[in-house]
Amino acid sequence: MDIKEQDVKVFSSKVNEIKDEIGKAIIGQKDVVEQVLIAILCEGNVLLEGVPGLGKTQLVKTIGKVLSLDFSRIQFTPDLMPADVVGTNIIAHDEDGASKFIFQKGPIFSNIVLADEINRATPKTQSAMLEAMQEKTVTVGSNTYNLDKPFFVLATQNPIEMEGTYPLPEAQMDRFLFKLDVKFPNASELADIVNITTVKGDIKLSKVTTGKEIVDMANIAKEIPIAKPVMEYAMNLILFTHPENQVSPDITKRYVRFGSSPRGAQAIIKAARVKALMEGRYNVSFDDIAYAAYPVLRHRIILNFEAVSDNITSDFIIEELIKELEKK
Amino acid sequence: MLDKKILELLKPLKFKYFLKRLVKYLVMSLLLWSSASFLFMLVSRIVPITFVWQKIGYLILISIIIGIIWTMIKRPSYRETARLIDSFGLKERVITSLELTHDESNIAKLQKEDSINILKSDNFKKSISLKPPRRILLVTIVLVLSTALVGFIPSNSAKQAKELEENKTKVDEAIDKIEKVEEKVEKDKQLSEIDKENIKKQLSELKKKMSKPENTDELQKEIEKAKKKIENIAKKIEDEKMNDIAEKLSRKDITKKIAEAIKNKSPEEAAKAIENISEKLKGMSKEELEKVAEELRELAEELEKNPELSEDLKELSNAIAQNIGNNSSNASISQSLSNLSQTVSSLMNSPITSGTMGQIMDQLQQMSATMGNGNNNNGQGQGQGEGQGQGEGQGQGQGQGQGQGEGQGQGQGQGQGQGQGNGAGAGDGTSNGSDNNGSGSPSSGSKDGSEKEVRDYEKIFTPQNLGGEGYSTQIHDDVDNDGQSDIIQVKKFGDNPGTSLPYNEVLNTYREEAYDKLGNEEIPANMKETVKRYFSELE
Repeated sequence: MDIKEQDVKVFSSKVNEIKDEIGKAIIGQKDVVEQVLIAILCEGNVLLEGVPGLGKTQLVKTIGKVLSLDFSRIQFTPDLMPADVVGTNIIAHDEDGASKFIFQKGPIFSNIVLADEINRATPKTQSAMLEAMQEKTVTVGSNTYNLDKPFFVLATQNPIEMEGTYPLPEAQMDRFLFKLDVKFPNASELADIVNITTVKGDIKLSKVTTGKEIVDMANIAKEIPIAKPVMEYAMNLILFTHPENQVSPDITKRYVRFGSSPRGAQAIIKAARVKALMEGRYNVSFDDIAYAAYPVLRHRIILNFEAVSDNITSDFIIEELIKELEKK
Repeated sequence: MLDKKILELLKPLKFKYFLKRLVKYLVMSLLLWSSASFLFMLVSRIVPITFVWQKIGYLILISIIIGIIWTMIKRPSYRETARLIDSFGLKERVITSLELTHDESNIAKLQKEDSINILKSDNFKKSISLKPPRRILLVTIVLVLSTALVGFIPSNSAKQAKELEENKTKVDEAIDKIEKVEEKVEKDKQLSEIDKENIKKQLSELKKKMSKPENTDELQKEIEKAKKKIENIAKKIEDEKMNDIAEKLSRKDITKKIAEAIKNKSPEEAAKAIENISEKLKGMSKEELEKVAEELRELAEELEKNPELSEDLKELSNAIAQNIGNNSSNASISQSLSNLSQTVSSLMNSPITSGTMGQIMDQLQQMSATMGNGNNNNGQGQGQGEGQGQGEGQGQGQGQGQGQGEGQGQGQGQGQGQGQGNGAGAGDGTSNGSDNNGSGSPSSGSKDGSEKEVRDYEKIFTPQNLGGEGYSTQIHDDVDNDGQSDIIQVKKFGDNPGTSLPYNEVLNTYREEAYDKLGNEEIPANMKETVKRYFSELE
C-alpha cells in the first residue's frame, strides 16, 4: 500500500474525532475507549471485564453508532445455543409451495457483535464464536459463510457472581486481542455520568466514519515500520512471560503457570503500530510496545496458585517484566 | 539522499558520544587503577615490594592507555548513537530511520523526513553530557587517598623494600658503568679485536651476574673476580706491548741495552742504559753520530703506536743531528735523554693504569667500593658491631680528628709531638644490621635474627689498634746537631688487644684502609697495583 502523508494525518484526525464523539456518551474511561479503538483498527476482538453498571454495554453501543457499523447484541445465558449465535438452517416454502432449507443468519452476522456476559453461556455456545472471531467466517452444516468486514466481537464479562458461570477456556481467551479492565469512575466522572443520564436525556451521536474507512485505516497501520531493537524488545517481553524460559525473571518463574502464545506477540506488534499512528508517528517505539503489553498480555499470562494466594495480578507481572527489560 | 542527510546529522553527535565514552572509560580505568594501587600498597605493607610508588605510577599510565584503547575498541557506531539520541525522547525515530536505509517506500521516506525534522529542531549535542560518573569518581578519590594513607604506615616490609631498592639502584648504576666501559673498549683502537672480545666477554658475564638479584657481598666478589680477569688481560696486553717495544729497540745497537732492561722489567737498568747512551755519544765520530741519529729516526717511525716513546726518540735523533752540525753543547741531547728515560720508566711502572684499561680498572674499583658500602643492607634483625675509626691530629700538643669508617663512626685521637704530629684515634659504637648508619666498619657488625649469611668465614684474630684504640707511645729519632730529635707517634696494644672476626670482615677492613691510603698518598703507580693485586688474591 502506498501511504501518503495525508493518509497519516487523516488517520490521526479521524481517531481524535471518534474519541471526541464517544466521549460525549462515555464519561471517563479514556484508556478503555482508546484501547477499544486500537483493537478495532487492528481488526481484533476485545474482552471487557468489569462489575455491572460501568457502561460496558453502553460503550460498545456508542462505538457502533459513531463508527456507523452494524451492531448486534447477544445476551449470553446458560440456555443460549450455538444456533442462537451463528444462525441455523430452517425449512422454508418457495413460491411453488416446495419446502427447502434456507440459512437463517444469526446475530453474529454484523460488524460489531456485543457478546454480553459471555461467561454465562455454556462452553459449547462460547466455542460457536471461535471460528467467527479468528477466521471471520461461520460454518453451518456444510456451508461456510463470510462475515462482513470489519468484524469485531466485543465481549463483556462480570468478575463477580461467578456461580453458575463458565469461565472462558484459554483457547478462546487467546482469540481476544485485548482484555480490558473497566475501572470504577472517579467522583467527578460519576457526577458527570449521573448528570448526563438523568437530566439531559438521550445523547445524539454523529457518525464519524464508515466501515470502509475503518478497514483502510487498519491497512495503513499495517505499513508502519518497526526497528529491530523494538521488535526484539517485544519478543523478549513475550519470552519473559514463559516460566520455562531460562532467562525469564524470577517473578515469572515463581508466579506464572503459562506464558503468552505467539498470538500475543502478533497482537503487541499490531497494537503498537496503531498506537504509533494515533500519535502521528511513522515508527513504533518502546513505549508503544509497553503500552500495548498490558491489554494484550493480561489474559494471556496464566497465573499459578501462589500468585492468586499472594494477590499478584497479571498487570503487576507485566509491569515487572517491563522494568526488567528496561534494565537490559 | 535522506539516508545521507541523517548520517550527516548524526556525525557530530557520534563524535560527542565517543568523547562521552572516553570520559567514562577513563574514569573506570582510574577506578581500576586506584583499586589495584590500594591492594598493591596493602600487600607492600606485608610483603617487601620494591619501588611501590614507581610501580603505581606505571600502573596509572597503563590503565589510562587501556582506557583509551578500550574506548577505541568500543567507539560508538551510528546505530548506538541513534539509540542514545532516541533516548532523549525521540521515540526510536532515528534508529528506525537507520534501519530503513535504502528503503524507498513512501512510509520510509515519511519516517526519515520526520526524523530529520526532529534532529534539526533541537541541539542534541548539548544533551550528551561529558560529566564523569560521579559515584565512580568519588570511589576513585577515596581509594587514592586510602592508598596514600597506607603508603605512610611504617612496616618492616616497607623498610626491607627500601633497602632492596637501594641495592637495586647500586646494581643499576654499576651496570650502567659496565656499559660505558664496554663502549670505551669498543672504541679503543689500541686494543686488538681478540682482546676486545675477551674484555667484553668478561664484562658481559659480570653484567649478567649483576642482573640477577644477589647479595651485594656476592656482587662485590663477582666484580673483584672480573677485575682480576681483566687485569690479567691488561697485563698480557702490556707485556705484549713492552715485548714489542723491546724487540724493536733490540734491533739497533744504541738501544739494545734499553731493550734488555725492558725485557728484564727493570726500570733502574733502563735508566742506566739511557745514561750510558749519553756517555757513548760523547765518544762518537760525526759519522757514527749520523748513523745513530738515523737509527733513532727509524726507531721512532717503527714505534709510532707508542706516540710518547716515538716522540722522545725523534727528539733525541734531532738533538743528535743538530749537535753534529753546530758542535754546540749537548744540553739538548741530555734533555732528550732525560725525557726518554722518564717515558721508558713511566711505561714500565704504570702500564695498566694508563689508557682505556686504566679507566676500566678504575670503574671496576669504584663499583666494588660502592657494593662494599652496602654490605649490611640485606640483613634482617639487629646486630651489634664494634667499629674502628681513624683520626688525624695536627699541631703541637694535642690533635683531634674524626674517625673514618663506613656508616657513621666517630673516633677521637690524641697526638703529641713537636713540629708536626699525627694523632691516631679509636672509635667504637654499635650498628644495626639493617641500618646503614651504624658506626664503624659495616662489615664488623655481627648479625642475628633472620639475617642471611652467605657463607661462614673462618674467624681470625684482629688487633684492636688498627687505626683505632690503643695506647700511644713515642719513638725518638737520633739527636741532630742542634740537639733536636724527631719523635714518631706509634701505638701499642692496650688491655684489649683485639677480637676474632670473620675473615671477610677483616679483609674488607684492611682493604678499605689500604685503598684509602692509596688514594691519599703519593705511591708509585706500579706499587699501587701490587697492593691492589695483593688484596684481590686474598679474596
